[in-house]
Amino acid sequence: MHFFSAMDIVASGLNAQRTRLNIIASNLANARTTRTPEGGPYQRRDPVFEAAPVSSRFRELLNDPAAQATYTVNVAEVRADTGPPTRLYDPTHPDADAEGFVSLPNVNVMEEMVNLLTAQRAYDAGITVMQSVKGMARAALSIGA
Amino acid sequence: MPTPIGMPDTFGAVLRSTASPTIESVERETRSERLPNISDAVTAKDSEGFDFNGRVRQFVEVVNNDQMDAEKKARAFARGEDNDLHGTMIALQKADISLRLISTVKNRLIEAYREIQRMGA
Repeated sequence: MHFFSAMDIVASGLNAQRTRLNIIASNLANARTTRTPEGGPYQRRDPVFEAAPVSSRFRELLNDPAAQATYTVNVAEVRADTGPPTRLYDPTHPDADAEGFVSLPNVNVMEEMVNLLTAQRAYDAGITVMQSVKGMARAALSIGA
Repeated sequence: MPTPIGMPDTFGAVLRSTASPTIESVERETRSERLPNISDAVTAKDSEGFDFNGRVRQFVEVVNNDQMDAEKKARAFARGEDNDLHGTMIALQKADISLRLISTVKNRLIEAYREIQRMGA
């Protein structure tokens, strides 16, 4: 059942890209949010991915060098981008500071759209790998038929 | 009957062996060629210690676990508790492949069994 470890790795990749998609959606939706529960404008969020060793049910896989060298991906944390907010001069805004500047989130919409595209392509790539794995397993089952 | 000089007493030996068997001789024969006990065959390991029955049982358990896992995930998804779409699809795929594998293995085993049966005919 070594195919199943490939499927687990792909599943973790798909999870990671979906998490990234959610974060991008949050960034885009809050691109002009000036109030947050923590105070201050919305800060752009970024996921941090880490490689985690493949965990399997089968002890035999631990003796397999490929299983020791391949990793699943985990979302280690979602960090806030602490870069400076965009300042806009608008004294009539309720959240304007003493000088009349409003701090807007440091979300660059173009950058988020490009990140969205890469997340989508990575998701598609994972699905393609899944189809290949499924095809290979089915082909193996037809040996000798 | 007198045997010719120098020849072994084969005829006499044949006569003695076909004499009516006593109870002890019957017991001696059946003890040495006893049919194997069915329960011994079911739990037997061959000379290398490979327990076929145990392996098959283990395999069926794995397939069953995959199926139950897939069903649980599909139900949770349908109820809206778990919105992990690709996880559910992957679990269903794993269950499908396991079931196909065990079904193929069963077909091959039965085919091999039938082949062996045909050998005897």
